[in-house]
Amino acid sequence: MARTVAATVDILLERIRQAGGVAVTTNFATVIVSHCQRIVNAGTRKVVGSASLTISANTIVYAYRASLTSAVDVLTVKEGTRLLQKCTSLADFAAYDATWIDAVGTRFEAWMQIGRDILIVWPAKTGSSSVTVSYSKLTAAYTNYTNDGATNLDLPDEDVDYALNLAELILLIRGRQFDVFNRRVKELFG
Amino acid sequence: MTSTTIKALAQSLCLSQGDTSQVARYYTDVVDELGKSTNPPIAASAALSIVSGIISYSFPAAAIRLIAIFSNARSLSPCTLAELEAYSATWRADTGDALSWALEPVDDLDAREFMLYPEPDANKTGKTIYSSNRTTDIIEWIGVAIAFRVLAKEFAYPSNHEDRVFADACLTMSDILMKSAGY
Repeated sequence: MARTVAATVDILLERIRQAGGVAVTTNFATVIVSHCQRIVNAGTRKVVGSASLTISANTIVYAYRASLTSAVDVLTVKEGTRLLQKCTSLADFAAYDATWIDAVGTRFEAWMQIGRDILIVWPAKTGSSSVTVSYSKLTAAYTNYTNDGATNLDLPDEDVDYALNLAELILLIRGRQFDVFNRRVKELFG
Repeated sequence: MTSTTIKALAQSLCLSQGDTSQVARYYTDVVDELGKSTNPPIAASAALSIVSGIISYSFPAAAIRLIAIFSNARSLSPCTLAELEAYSATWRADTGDALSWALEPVDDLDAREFMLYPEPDANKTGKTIYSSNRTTDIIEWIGVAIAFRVLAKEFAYPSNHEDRVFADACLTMSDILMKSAGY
């Protein structure tokens, strides 16, 4: 059962003994939960989306986040129903074709993500085209306990606790509760 | 996130005890360190106009480190001075389609210019991909980790608000957040 933002923030404030939101306001805690949800999904990649990316003629480099504004990491790239091979370095393209650096083809073969901004779709084509990109999503932003309180978190239930743990650690640091912080880090991460 | 919101978040997390100008200084340092890493989280690309007869080109303004350079759809190989000299004894005078690029001055890791080899003999369009120190549209998970790294620096050095325990905790939290985000 999905958990709401307000319920999650309430649990967070109870954990750090700030129920009632005095030293830590409910709105600040809401923002921290929002950040932590995004961080967790960046790692787990369970909340996903997909969209079409326009491919220009003779071009292989794309700043994909300009077009796919809610994309964090690219998971798959398809041309039609065919999955392209993922490469993790520019040198991997050479495994496809020793002359890859010059290649212009009739179909796409492979892709590579650089940082969290750039997508290479290889080889180039002489005309414009499109591919379907699946990606891990930038989850919703929450800023206000009251206005966003009834909204369900985007994360699946099994990941909410991890986001809560990260939020708890952040607020413990802010509250200078280092003994508790260090103990919790040891409990959570060994 | 923007650099302004990241710095504001850092100040919120330290209850505004950080020195504003030092936080800004350390923010620049942290972004620079991440940009020089082997897996920079903030990347960007820029168009490159390759001009016949022009061998040297400037880094894009927001570039920390060049990751790749393309001429049309061709990837140019990075090379060192030794490789250039091994490839061609007359490399300085060679002309043709660009095959590779080198920092200029060659092998200077702080260089802000690069040169193409051989000297281009035709105009081409290209692209550079680089790690970026841009101040807007910074993906959120890295923004929070950056805020903690900034605090780790700000509170580690001698000052009237020095707090090394807090600094250590911030560094730990930054690492936890980066790992949690799969970085």
